[in-house]
Amino acid sequence: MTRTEQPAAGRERPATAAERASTATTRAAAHIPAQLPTRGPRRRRSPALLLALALGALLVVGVAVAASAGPAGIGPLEALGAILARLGVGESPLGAVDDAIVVDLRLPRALAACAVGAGLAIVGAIMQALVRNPLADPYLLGVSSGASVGAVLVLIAGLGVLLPVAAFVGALAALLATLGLAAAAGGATPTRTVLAGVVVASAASALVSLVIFWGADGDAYREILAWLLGSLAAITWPTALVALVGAGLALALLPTGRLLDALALGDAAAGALGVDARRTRWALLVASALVTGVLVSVSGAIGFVGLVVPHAVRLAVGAGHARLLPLSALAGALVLLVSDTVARAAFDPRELPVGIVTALIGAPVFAALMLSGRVRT
Amino acid sequence: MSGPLPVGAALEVESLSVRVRGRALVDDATWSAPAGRLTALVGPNGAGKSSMLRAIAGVVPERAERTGRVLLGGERLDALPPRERARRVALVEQLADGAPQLTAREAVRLGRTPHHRMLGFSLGDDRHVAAALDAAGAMALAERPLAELSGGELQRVHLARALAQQSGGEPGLLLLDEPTNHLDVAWQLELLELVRRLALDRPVVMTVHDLALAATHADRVVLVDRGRVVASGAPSDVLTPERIRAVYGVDAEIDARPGGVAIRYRRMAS
Repeated sequence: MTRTEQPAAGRERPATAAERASTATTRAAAHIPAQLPTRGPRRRRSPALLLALALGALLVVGVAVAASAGPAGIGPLEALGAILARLGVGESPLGAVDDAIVVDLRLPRALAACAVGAGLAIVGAIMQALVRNPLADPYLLGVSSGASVGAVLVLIAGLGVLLPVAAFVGALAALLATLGLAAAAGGATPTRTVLAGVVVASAASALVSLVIFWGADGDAYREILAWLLGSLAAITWPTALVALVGAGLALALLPTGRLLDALALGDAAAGALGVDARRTRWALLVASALVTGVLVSVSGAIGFVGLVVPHAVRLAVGAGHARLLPLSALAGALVLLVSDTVARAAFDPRELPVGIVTALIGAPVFAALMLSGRVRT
Repeated sequence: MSGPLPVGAALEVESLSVRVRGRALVDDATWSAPAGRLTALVGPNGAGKSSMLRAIAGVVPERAERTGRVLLGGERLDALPPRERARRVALVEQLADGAPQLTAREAVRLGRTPHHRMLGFSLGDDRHVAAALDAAGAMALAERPLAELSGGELQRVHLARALAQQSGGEPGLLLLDEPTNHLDVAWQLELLELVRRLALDRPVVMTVHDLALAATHADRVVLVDRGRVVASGAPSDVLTPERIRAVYGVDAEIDARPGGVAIRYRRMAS
């Protein structure tokens, strides 16, 4: 259709009975539509693209810096050279030991940080949209609490090697308990599912506290605290690959952004668009919780990233999920990569759990974003 | 009212019922809406007008039971998969104030949802969205967030979304729930003008509370009370003082002139 076929309202229109009846009001109406001021075409799309490119570039730099930061005295460019060499590009500028430090110790950890950060941010944004609550985070359905139960049990038993497996089993058990409870309570609607998640999370947290109170001492206590706050200190290539799989699953959820937008219109409106709101919401809740379970199993329950990164990105580019989800992924990856590098290197030789750093860095950054006047509420 | 001859597909509603736990929101409703005509669905609050529109669009409340048939051009809409159905029927809800942070263009793009493949886009989306914005007179609003729009502007954007939903195929069925609600008279006339133009080549059904507005602007009126269709046909046949008295419990004095219909209401003398 073009303007010539469909004249814009307010201009040459066939007169109707109503207009003949009230030419005065029609004149009043005539100036309204076609002359509304535009605010510059596509004012939001290009900032989003720029932001994506900037975040992508920062991520590459960040990985190089993360792989070089530390006591070995390796430069970022050397680290990058060593990484590229393993990918078959050029030769490593480093000796065998330094090369191994970069590629076998720091690179998997840096990649895991990116993967977990990206995954948590995506899942957090999805959860917030699904339950229409800005306080929702990836751990909504009790997943992290369940993971903590599994983790704490093996840490106290001195079976730290089994930690990722135990954590994932715990996460899965909590998710199943949540869904089971919701179903038993009369059908797993989103509201019931979230409520059941709260119940399961409380029970699991109590269990964790009980186990710690009963059995933890000394080293085990510190290990447990590190897990509860979230830490990437124990990452090796195998666990990094698990994190990357988790991130891959999260990335597979990116195309659901438009569905989330449709859901935001309201359930009936979404239904009229052919989207079954109830089923979609439930499926996305479960898929998101599963992804979270995978991520948490290697990193522990890292806070803040999944909660605040989506908000920060929303402030920058608006709430349309087609942009929000991918940009949250990039921003989440960067935030966790920087946080983890700081956690590892800033207080050398001691190391902080990254969960502390995400909040220490994240809270002021978010506060600054809020104060910059971009909050639309 | 003179108009072009009906073209394309007519809507036929046959014995449509929607029941929730035994209570009928829509009760054995049978009526039709020809293409090329604007049909007004009127009735008191809670009569089931919105439920009727939603049921035609395939949206029923949780645990509701829908029976009966809905046909568009002889095709069973109620038997179609949701996405197929959504390409033929578009619904603009009353007080559609969801998704406030989306820009108008993004909101209109959501109309393309039933056309999307796996990755959340389909060919020609941009073109269809632009055409829909243009047809609804909402092009100038394209980059503004819905939260910043007035009621009339918002209504235009949602109309554009409905048009984008049907763009690229046969003109489908357009369902509008209280499109003139909360609009001042100027916007009402603008909107009705637009709706009348859209009704040139498709059936358009809108619910309205204002009986005079329905009588003036609609080609057909369907009067609903407690889920049942009381009468349907030409406005002057359906909207009689007797029926208004029976359904609304008020006395009505109808003043039909060439320029439009005015109705004066009085509380019933008891």
